[in-house]
Amino acid sequence: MRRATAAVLRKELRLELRTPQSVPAMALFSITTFVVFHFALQRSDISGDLASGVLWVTLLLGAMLGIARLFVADREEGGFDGFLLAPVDRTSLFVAKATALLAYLIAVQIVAVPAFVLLLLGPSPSNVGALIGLLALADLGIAIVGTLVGALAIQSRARDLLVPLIALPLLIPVLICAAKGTTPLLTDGGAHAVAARWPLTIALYDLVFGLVAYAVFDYLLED
Amino acid sequence: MFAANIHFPDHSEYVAGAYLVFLGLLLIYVAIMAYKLTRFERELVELNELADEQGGITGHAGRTGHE
Amino acid sequence: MYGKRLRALSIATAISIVTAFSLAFFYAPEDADQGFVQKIFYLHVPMAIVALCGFVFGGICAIAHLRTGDRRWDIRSYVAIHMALILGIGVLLTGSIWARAAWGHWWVWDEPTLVSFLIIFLLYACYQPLRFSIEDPEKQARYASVFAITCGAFVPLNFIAVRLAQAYTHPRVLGSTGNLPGPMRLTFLVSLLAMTLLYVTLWKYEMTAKNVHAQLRSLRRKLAPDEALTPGRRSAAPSLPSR
Repeated sequence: MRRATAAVLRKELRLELRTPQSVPAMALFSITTFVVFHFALQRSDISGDLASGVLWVTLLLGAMLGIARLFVADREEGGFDGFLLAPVDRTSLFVAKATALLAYLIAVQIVAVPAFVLLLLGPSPSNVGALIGLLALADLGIAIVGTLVGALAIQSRARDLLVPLIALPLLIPVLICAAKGTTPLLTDGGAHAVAARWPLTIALYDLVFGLVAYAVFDYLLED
Repeated sequence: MFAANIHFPDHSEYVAGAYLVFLGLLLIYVAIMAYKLTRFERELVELNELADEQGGITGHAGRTGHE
Repeated sequence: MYGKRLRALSIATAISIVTAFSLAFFYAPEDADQGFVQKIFYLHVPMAIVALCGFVFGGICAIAHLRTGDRRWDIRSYVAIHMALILGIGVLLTGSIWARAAWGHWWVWDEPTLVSFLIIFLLYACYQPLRFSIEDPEKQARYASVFAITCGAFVPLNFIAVRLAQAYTHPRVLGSTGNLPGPMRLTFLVSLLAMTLLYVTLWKYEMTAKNVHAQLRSLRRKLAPDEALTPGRRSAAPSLPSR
């Protein structure tokens, strides 16, 4: 199964590198959203829980864009049928797509988070390692749930509408824990460390949904 | 007889409202079921007539059709 | 055959609801700090618990559907979620009324149950649009089951997360179910039983109606095989497979 996963993953990444669609759009969307927030909130710099909120809302909404596009090519150009004909474990498609989405999210955040620090953040982030850790954990959750919802919505006629409607409520626990977790990191003098329960809860969420998606994804691909 | 014991204290209208919401939802469901039931009845009557018709044709030679 | 024990069940439901309401108003003592308004608790919390169990039950039926391929499990799941969603509306409405009565606002973010419910409601509100936007009935059933399982797993996680978000900033404001004095606990348990029976009765009621509909369709097909199916409005809701 690992070879099948690697093969599909390589295809995804190669496609994205050749004609970049998702990642530039998501990155541009994030930066534009920061500008929008500047005008909407009428602030030049923010910190603490407000900064945390703005950052995570932007990242989540940008992720919605990426999720919506994840399966579109497969659906329109028969990629599903091609995959189904191959004698491989169907879950490898899930792992490959989720990993690709994770890669896109990380790529976008490499651009978006420094942009955020530059444009909107007042204090400089105190504990960059913890911030990266929380981002990574949350990205994993977003990737898992996003891939599942993307595959679920792709077969319906209203797929662009359904993806944010289903994915956003599902991702609220991640949002809660990530926002609460990063708040002390984005505060002036927020020297106290991130409370352990936030990353732990996100990790639990990732585990549960990883298992659910693993168990259930096959049924989405049957013809 | 119970009324003597019960005094209606403040905010009782909210409690009444909440219980009325519950009752309302239940009664809306009853109404929907009533609608479904009338539809089923209509269709069953129709199918019964249909069955009579066919029973008339195949069963008794003398019958000309349904009444 | 879904209507078998329906009559006995309905009678039991009626008795338990009347008992629960009587206990709530005539037996349970008035709460010390909230007063009469606390009586809503006997309505709101059982509805919330039963609705949540209903969603999880819908997920379990969905698992059974995916494992066995039997469409009847999918219908059970659909009805379970449908009923739980209606109860969910009741939870949000009664919770809002309770918040207004106890705190003066029609909505409070401090009550984790209410907030979790809002999120869950928003999520499950997508269940029917999802179903109706997939045309192939078998695919629709499969995708709906995946949705039901995913969201069923989400329900407990959501509660944990929302609880955590509130835990250290605001204490539970609308009363806890933990340490109830005796009479209150009895009333609460009876209310919970009543609500559970109501849910099961309505679920069976709905399943029976769907079975009747399916049997009627099958009968019509046997008697008038050339006719177009059921003249008049055809609902998009899933129906039991008829033989």
